[in-house]
Amino acid sequence: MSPGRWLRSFAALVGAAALVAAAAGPARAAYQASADSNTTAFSLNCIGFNDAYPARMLSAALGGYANLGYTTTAYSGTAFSKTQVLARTLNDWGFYVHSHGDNYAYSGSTRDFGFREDAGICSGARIIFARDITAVRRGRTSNLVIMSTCHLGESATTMPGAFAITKTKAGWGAWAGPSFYLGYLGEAWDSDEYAFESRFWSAIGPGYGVGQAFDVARLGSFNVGFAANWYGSYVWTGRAGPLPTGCTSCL
Amino acid sequence: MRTRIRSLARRRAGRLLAAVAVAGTAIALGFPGGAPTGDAADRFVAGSPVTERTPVTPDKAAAALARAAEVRSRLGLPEPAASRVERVVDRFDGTAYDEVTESDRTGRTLQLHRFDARGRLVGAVAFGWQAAGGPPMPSAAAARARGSRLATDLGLGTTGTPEVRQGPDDTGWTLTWPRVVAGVPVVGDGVRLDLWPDGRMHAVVRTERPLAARPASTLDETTARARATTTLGTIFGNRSGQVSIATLGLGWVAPNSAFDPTGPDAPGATLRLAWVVEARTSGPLADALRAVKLYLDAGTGALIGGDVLR
Repeated sequence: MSPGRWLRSFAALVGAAALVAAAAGPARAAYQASADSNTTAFSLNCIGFNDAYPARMLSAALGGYANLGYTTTAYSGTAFSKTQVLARTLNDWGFYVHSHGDNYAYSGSTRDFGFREDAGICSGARIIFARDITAVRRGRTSNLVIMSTCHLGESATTMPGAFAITKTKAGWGAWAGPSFYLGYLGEAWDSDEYAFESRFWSAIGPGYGVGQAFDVARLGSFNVGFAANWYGSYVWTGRAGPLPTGCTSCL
Repeated sequence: MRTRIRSLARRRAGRLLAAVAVAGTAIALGFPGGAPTGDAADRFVAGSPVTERTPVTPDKAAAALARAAEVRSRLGLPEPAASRVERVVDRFDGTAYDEVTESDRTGRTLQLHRFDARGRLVGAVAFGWQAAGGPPMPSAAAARARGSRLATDLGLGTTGTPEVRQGPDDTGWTLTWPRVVAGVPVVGDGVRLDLWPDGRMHAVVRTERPLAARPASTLDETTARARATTTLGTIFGNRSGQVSIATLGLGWVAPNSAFDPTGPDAPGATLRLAWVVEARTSGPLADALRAVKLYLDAGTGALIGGDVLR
């Protein structure tokens, strides 16, 4: 089977998984989430081997969002494009992406944080900048945003703002919810992201809110130097949808 | 219904073909086939719960609660109104521990403590975001001194000088004591201590996974480098000029199926001695891949896993 056909099979599996994940979620209002994973750039015909991690992390994200009541659709290959991301972002309450991320050159000497689309190509994939998302969402609030990339959890990142998440950490007795942004510092290896995310998704929901799940996930085994960061509300449950205005203690 | 069954059968056949193709490619490239991680084969499936929890016997619970009280006392953590003790199996790492979860009167979870089969503290977290507190520690040296004292008080068995990193947004400090056995680093193992900005403990984790027996003989560095160069050449073909070895050294690693989508979803629970090769990319290839790690079995040179940096 050619790599292209293998990828198509994989894309079909991803699609099926998305439907199963959506069906398995609690019967709540349809709060949309998108889970994008760049598989093509890490496949046999692009880099000489099939990186197993993107599909595994996508499975974990799909299951995690479904458990929290999101209606989630997964995108990879040609389906994960800049056009698709920007077309869906306005209605996304949850957003997950596993791809390249960095503080890229935007125009001239201007730089901005962003991540690369898949688009089914090995190189030259377009960058989706924080300002591109900001231009579409225009301050619309979001719930759970996870940037499974390098660099997008750093202090200077502009990506939380694109999803209307303030770069503050609200702990006990405070409230910056219902929203949570998760990203990584510097260069993050796939195995570390995979281990962290598997534990995060597993801990969230049954008894733990997003901040506690973050803390529990950090108890895993990682390469020295791996570091994750978060912004938003520590005490929020992670469940899909808005909460009443002025709610300061409801989870 | 028949159409659905046919469709399912076709899908299953497609998956089988995809798996065969991937396995064939992996074998052609010299990647490990089947279940390279051995003990991980049936342990964990991506997207499934990482942990399995069961109640413990009253005598075990009492012992764990006593240990938790001692940790609490040493760290100055608040007295809980309620505690729960569970036996937890971590299906991802293949580890197991007793976990004490402590809550206040409102049911809010305050902290947790984990103890291994020998009763040693292997994990603890003070929940909540507590960036505000006493005066912040003024320097990395102060954080190192404070963390080292805490590690000694908690009996974490640390030796040497820890690495210290300041958290993002000045949110605290992280100290690490990587595990080294007979001069060889154990990748991912060691002690990590997170401190709030004022020096109070946020979290502690001690990872110490089992090691396999050393191979009877170990490839020397020259041979390992040659094997790595050959493997990279096989993988990257005419683009191997855009890949160069940055570091190469012995390390204890968890075997994994990073390059085999049909392999186990979790890394192996028993670490093996390997030559750890980090290769960095340049040119157009760097657009898709920043670096790759190869784990070459120290005795045979076989590829037993690796890692990817995008």
